[in-house]
Amino acid sequence: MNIPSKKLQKSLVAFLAFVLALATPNISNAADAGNGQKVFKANCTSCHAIGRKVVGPDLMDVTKRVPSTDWMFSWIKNNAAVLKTGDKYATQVFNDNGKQAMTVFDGTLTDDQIKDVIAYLAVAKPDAGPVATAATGTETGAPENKHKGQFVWVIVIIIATLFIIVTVLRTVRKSLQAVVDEKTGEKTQVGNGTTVWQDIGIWIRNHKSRFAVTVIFFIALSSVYSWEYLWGIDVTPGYHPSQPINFMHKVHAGDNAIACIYCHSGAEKGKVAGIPTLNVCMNCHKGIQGSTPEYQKEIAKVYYAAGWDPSKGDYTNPPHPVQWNRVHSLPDFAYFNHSQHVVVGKVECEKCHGDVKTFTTDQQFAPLTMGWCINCHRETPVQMEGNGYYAKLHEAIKQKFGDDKKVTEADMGGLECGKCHY
Amino acid sequence: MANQKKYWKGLEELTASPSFVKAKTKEFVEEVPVDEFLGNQGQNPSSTSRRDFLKFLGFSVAAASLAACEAPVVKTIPYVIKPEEVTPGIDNWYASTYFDGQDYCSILIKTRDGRPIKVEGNTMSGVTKGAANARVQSSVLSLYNSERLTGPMIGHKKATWEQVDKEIGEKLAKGGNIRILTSTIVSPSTDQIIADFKEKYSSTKHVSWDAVSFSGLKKANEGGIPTYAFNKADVIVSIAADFLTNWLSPIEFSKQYAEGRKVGKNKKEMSRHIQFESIMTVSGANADTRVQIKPSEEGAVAIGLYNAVAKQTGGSSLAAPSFSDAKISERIDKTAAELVKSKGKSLVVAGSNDTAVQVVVKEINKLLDNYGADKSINSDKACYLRQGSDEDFAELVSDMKAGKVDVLITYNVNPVYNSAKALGFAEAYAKVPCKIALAEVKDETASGANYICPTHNYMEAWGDANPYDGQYSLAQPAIYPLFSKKFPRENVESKYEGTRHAQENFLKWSGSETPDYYTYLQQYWKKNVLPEQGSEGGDYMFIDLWNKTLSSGVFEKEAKPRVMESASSVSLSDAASKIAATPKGGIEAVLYEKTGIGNGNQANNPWLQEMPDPISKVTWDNYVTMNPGEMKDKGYNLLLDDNRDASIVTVSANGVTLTLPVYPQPGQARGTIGIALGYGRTGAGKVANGIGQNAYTLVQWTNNTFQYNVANVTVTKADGTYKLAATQTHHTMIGRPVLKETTLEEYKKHADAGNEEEKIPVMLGSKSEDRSFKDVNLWDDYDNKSPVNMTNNAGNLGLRWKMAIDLNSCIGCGACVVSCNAENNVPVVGKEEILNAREMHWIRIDRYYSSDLTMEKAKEEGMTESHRMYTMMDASADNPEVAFQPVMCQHCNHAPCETVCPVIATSHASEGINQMVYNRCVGTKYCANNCPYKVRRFNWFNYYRDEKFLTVNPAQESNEMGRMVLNPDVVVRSRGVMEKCSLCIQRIQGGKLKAKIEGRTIKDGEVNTACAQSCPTQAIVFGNGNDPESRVAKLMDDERNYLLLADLDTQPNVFYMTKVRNSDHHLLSE
Repeated sequence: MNIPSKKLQKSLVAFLAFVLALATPNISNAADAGNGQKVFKANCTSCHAIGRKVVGPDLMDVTKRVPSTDWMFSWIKNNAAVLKTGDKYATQVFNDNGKQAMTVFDGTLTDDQIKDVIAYLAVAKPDAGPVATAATGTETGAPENKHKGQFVWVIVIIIATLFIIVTVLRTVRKSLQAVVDEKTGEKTQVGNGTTVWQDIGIWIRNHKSRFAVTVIFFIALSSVYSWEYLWGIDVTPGYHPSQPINFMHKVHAGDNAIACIYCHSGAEKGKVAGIPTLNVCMNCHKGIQGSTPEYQKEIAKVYYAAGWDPSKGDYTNPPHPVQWNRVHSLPDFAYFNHSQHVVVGKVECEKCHGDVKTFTTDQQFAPLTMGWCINCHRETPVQMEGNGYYAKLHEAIKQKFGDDKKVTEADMGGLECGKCHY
Repeated sequence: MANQKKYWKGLEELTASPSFVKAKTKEFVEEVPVDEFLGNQGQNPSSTSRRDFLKFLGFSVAAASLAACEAPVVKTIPYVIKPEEVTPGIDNWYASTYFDGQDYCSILIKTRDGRPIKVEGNTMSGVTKGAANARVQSSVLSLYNSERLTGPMIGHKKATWEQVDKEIGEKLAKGGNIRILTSTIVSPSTDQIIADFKEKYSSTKHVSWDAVSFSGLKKANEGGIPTYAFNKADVIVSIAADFLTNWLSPIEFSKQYAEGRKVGKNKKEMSRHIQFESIMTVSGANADTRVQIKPSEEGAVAIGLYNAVAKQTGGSSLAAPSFSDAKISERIDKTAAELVKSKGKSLVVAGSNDTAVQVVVKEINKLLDNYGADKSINSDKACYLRQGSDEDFAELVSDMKAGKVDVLITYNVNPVYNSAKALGFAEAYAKVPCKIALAEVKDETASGANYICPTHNYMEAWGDANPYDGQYSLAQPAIYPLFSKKFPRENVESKYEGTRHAQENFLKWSGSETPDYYTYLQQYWKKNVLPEQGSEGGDYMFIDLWNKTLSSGVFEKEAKPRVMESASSVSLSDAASKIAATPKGGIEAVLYEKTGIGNGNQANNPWLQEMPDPISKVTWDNYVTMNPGEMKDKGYNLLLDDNRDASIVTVSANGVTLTLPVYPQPGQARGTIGIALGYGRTGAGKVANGIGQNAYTLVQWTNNTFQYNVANVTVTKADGTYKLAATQTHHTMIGRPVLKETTLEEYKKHADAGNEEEKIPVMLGSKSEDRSFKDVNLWDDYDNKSPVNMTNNAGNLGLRWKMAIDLNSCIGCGACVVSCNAENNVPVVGKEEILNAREMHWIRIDRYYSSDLTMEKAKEEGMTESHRMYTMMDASADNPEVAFQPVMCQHCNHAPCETVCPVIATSHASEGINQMVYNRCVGTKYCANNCPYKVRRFNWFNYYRDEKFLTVNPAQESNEMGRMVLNPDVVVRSRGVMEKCSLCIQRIQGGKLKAKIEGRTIKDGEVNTACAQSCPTQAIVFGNGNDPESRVAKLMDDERNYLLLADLDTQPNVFYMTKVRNSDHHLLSE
């Protein structure tokens, strides 16, 4: 068995090598398409894609339409130089693509790398292009509700089973009692003619103190639970509704380390941090169309909402404002101002919003109850250092109480009703 | 010596009517109708039983808790493309100009997220200097008037602009006589556009006409109406001109007036104001001396003054007039003497629209040497605020009647409603074959038009104004037109055809090369205003001028002095003979404008309808005012309370009859009545329609001018009674001494005149001793014990908000009331609820009448108790002195409300503010009952949701337009909570935050309450009392300052300044 199999292995290897050689165009003989793909992804995808136009032209089958491979090489290496020579094809490409100058890679990429890229482009398959689709908002997701429902059913089933068992046992007992009665000729208290309720009544009369303790225990228990429950109404930490666009803070704030303030610029200016408007999204997403089909689908929703036509590279479609499901919603009677906390109080965003960098769907981190606000006001020292508003006061407090006197928000009147309620 | 005067707010208080006495001790006048919903089942089988009630209660508790389990999903929709200048939650301010043909005001419009929510005066303006009145303040609500037209109409059908332009173009091209009827236009570019139109269609005539006419003043000053400066006059004499709230340019004048009236540590002089009038106007109420005359005697008073002044200055005298009362001529002589004494520094104005009267007044001022660039009348600088000509209007009407007018274009006028019936405009209007109305709403005139071309609200429009020579201002849009066909920025189309600039109609129809008004305006300014700057033209210079003007709102420069032709076609002797022939006799009526409603163009504005009239304190109504003594003689009902309503009278003159309730007005001259204009609308909208009756119908046509004084009016009692919703006796401080006043003479002698420290008898052991109330104090000293006042202990470094109210400057105009409404989302409650004393205004202006007839005096004169009541009333209500006192929450350091709240919903802040937490309040109303100042208001209904208030309250949930006016920084209160003045805490917090972000301390004046900001006379000053440099801290040092009901030792943070009257008699020292 060994010999033929070895032979087979050899011939298989030979066959594969042949197929590969056939499948690879001549140019790539000296170049590595696999490496080319890596280089392409690292350097080109912010402006180019295979199978669709981004900022630069669609590179599907580009090797077939350019005048020559050498032309392509010199173009990638230094397109500005090619344009200077007055090359006809180069000028046309430049004009057709909004006269946007391409990056010069001379010095950044080695000649071999450029050749690898060209090799890759010759074989590259199109990635799934984003199609502008409607961003449809879905119902708010509350997965724990499902479990809650199941829990209730389990309880109902248990109660039903217990009820059936009790009924059966009672019937059995009655029959047995009847048999006993027949034998002894006596008539006991329990027996025919009494209902379940009468039986319960009899039991209670016989076990008054035990019954009282049970009732008190149940009342106390349910009071405690209702109390807890009532306090918890509308307190929803962990609330994470699904959103019309599956925006991921993990990708933006986490992987790409974009500062919170870049998108939520209102946080430094006024009372609302604000959900970024679509033009802010488009600052980056004009170029970034997504690396996976899932991302592309979501980014396509951004284009749809903004009225951006990726093929034309312009806002030519009608806009469709995104209806986000609000995650943090304070009641109207509580006034909260972001700039007060972020700029003056120098509070980190994470303190109230949690480790947003890891969130795949945005969720409410803090309970947002008054007690939670108040606690922080009690503990947090006022950022007096370096703020001219507090200068005189700071000096006076230092003189009166010494340098290490910690002045908390509460000391400054931060617990007064009128700070938040008006 | 203590003030011995008797003060009262209404006749009910003066005469101590039983229901007033009963009500005054109660915070809540109306009993809660518990029986209605807990009715006895046996007596009323259909009512809900107790059992049912409990069932419902149980059900609703269960339902409510179930409903509360799941929080509603809130949607948040950000902009698609955010406009660069908008940041959510941050205000944007735009400088603009308000002119509606009545008030001119340079303003700032506050917008939030693209919505205008507040109007404030522009301090950069040399004309209005930061002042704004109630009508201007209210205009932000008129923007959201749900009656506004959303697109053009042909006949009564909706049409497109193309259709309208095409059809009107054809009509105009046909030729024929075209007439354009407008109110005064102060916009030079609009004037130019109309001139261009006239050039294209040569048969066009432009007629200017004002609803309340100033034709007489204009004709007497044919070179142009001069500029008045009330601050430059030491003696001001007004003959029935209500210059503080209505005459010519009231916003500007009240600012000037206050300047001359203020006294303080370094200024112990004030101007003297003498008013001759028949009805009680706001100006009359503020006068030091008020002389009652008959309306027909206005001219006679002018002639009398002229003669008396001429006698002393050496002029020729006119035929002496006669007066109904010998006292009048006595007063005229005294007044003339004062005027002559202040020769060159005095001012005489008259409200009459009679050219003859104005000619005589002009001559008096000339004799007094009041004309000059630096004097009270500047004839080198023309005023363009009133250009209407009654003669032109009359000619237009006769042309229309004769069928000579083929096309009539009306713009910003409503003559079908507000022109005198005597002229018969309505009938003539029907005869015009093609009527085009440029209007915002389908008013009385527009609804009869063939074409209605809806115009933008002024807040959506570009515009310019040139109120005086050398003074320009720009108007710019603060919001994209609400009704637009396209919203280009959002790339969206709407269902509306849209409104457009009124000017664009003329531009389109005349086939202008620049049909866009904005471009035209810029071109106009480049061509005509830029050269006035004295610099060479050029794009760069123009862009600079334009941007500067747009940002500051105004462009002002020294006007080239030009000597205006002061001659008039009416000579002095002609004037005298015309005056002698003034119709007189019988009961004489004065048709006047109210401070709120004015000429009626903003009648559909609920804020203005609900603002209590400064004098009568009546809301939501039109009525006949009459002297109380006279009413008693005629048997009309004087005392209005729960059981007694106003009598109804029929007023008729010259074939016009009005049926209105009659209201006793102390100070009204006997034999006269007053009726307000601006009511009886039929085409204004659901708020105003059907309120009162149209008094414009009574306006007379005499000597080619409209006359608002009507002689020989018959007044007869009609059947029935009528409920008037007056707030005057609501929230009274039951006669405790709250108002302090003195005379200038006393004040000069000792600065604390009228404000002497009060002492109370204290039992010390067995003997009684008079001690200052400060020594008898049950309270802990709050200020020093507060942990927060670590800041105060450390050398008063913290903030302590204080408010000073100068009673000497307050003219009672009500601008603060409306401003507070807008800032604090105060609901409008409507007439029914005001009748129940449930008005919600956080600030009220108490108007007190007073006279020198005291209890003691009456006793000395031997009056018996019952007799005294009537005699006192007659004598003291005849011509009382008036004082205004704004009262809002006093923010007591020892607040009586705080100690009684069972849930601590009201508490004290370290900065001196008495805080009210609505979401904590359970509505026990203990606080209101314990408040000595009666400033707490209970929210009886869900005004923002209850259908009952759909018509009156604009900020309804279901009213998408009206609720846009709400201030998002202030919560909309729900039913069942107490609310009150918060000292605009949202502004304080905002100001503090701004200072903290910028790392600096708060500047004085930076944080201001809405009432203080809007006060045209700066009677209200707000600031940090711990800052020794602040204006309010300086006022705290003034001897005139006093606390309201100081003997209660509530230690308010709001304090008052004694009123000083420049009287010529010494009532108080007698």
